[in-house]
Amino acid sequence: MTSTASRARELMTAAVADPGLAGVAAELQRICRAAVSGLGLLGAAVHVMPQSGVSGIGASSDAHAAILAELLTTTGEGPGADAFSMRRPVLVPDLLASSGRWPGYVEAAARAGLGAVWSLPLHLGAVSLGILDLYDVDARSLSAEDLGVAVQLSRLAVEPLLDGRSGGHGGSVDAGLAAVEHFAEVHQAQGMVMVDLKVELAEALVRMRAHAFANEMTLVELARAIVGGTEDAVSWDR
Amino acid sequence: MERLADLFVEVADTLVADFDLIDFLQSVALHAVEVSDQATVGVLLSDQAGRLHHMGASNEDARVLELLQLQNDEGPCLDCYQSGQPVVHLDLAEDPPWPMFAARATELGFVSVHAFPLRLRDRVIGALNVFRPDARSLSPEEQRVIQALADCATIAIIQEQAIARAEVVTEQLQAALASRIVIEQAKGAVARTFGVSVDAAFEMIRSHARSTNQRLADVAQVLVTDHQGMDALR
Repeated sequence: MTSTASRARELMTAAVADPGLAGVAAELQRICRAAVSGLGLLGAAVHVMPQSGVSGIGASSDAHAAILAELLTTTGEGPGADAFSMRRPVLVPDLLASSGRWPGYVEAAARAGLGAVWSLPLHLGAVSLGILDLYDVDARSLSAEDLGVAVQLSRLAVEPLLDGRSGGHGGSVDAGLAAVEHFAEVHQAQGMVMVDLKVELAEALVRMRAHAFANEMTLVELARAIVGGTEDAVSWDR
Repeated sequence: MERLADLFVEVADTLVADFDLIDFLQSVALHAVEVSDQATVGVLLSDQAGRLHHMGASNEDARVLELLQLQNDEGPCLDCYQSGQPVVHLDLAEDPPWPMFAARATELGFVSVHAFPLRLRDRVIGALNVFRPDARSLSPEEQRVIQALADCATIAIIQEQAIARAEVVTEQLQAALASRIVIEQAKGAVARTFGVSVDAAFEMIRSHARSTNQRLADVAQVLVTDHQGMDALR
């Protein structure tokens, strides 16, 4: 079962971004391209929602995928819009069969040659950042294994987006956010730091990661200290 | 028997759209305690990468949650999840197959553990853990009822089981995992705002959700994203 995670990482390692891109944009494009090559897709795009606090960052596997991603903005509906607002994957293996749900989007997407769209939310709990859209020409289902890889790739996109939001690095000695997601303490501590520092929830995590990094702790160790009452965010330096 | 009838009414409700999965899984845990008196029960679901996540427990004490999480490294739930078969160990102090897990469980006063798979056909999506403060094995009848509870939970998660396409399963599981994270974030925020324990914070969120007929995750979402969100709990 962990093979989906390792396959996602392998695909990421093999993916190369355009030479002109750097930082978060390059990272996100590699995620898109990893999805395309790994799942045999027409294209993939990361769409960042304006209300997420991240601006000017988006990515696509190629220029065509960028045009397909725009359909969400031009029609104002679609699987991506629902995945974002409902914070859950919206997977549409047969787009034409869903024309009742998003009439405008399906019509425009069909004209653009799309048969299937899989939208995955990019979020960490209540912090919603955007979506990862996967596109294909034919109406078809993805296997459970391929869906698992898609979910893993979507998780990998959350971290660069959070970093992009903070305008810098979120430095951490952890393997990555995806690796600590199953620790309840990390999320509880995030809520506590949000209140203690009077910041947004996303910012609370950025501050926790920076503090953990600066003090050579793992995020889980820091979170346990916060929840256990031995670490107080109020005392942290800005 | 009457309690079981209640449970099946609740299960039937889940087949109606828009039910609260997290609240339901917590009810499953509480019902399992009714079957096996004095037990502590937790429900774990796997994500796409095979990691187990806590979804609901009869007691949301932080130490119990830790015991559930610990099983990503070793433990009866992990074995049960990987094999798809029930796992029973009656004396955790005696030669346990999971030394780290057993040591922590013993510290918390647990003596025996049962794990039941959340399984639909050949697909295992998680496990249900029963911890007991004594070495008593669950009777065959108790085991059957608790496995039936685990099956109900599985069906609730994979609602469209007859056509359990991979897409549907993925949507449901990811939504459940995300909801649980939002709830943990809100527990932390509420605990700090009101100066209460994380457990007490969970109770505040749950009772507000119930009294206003909202999903736990929806209440939690407002609490951590809306600046006036906390006013609802005052």
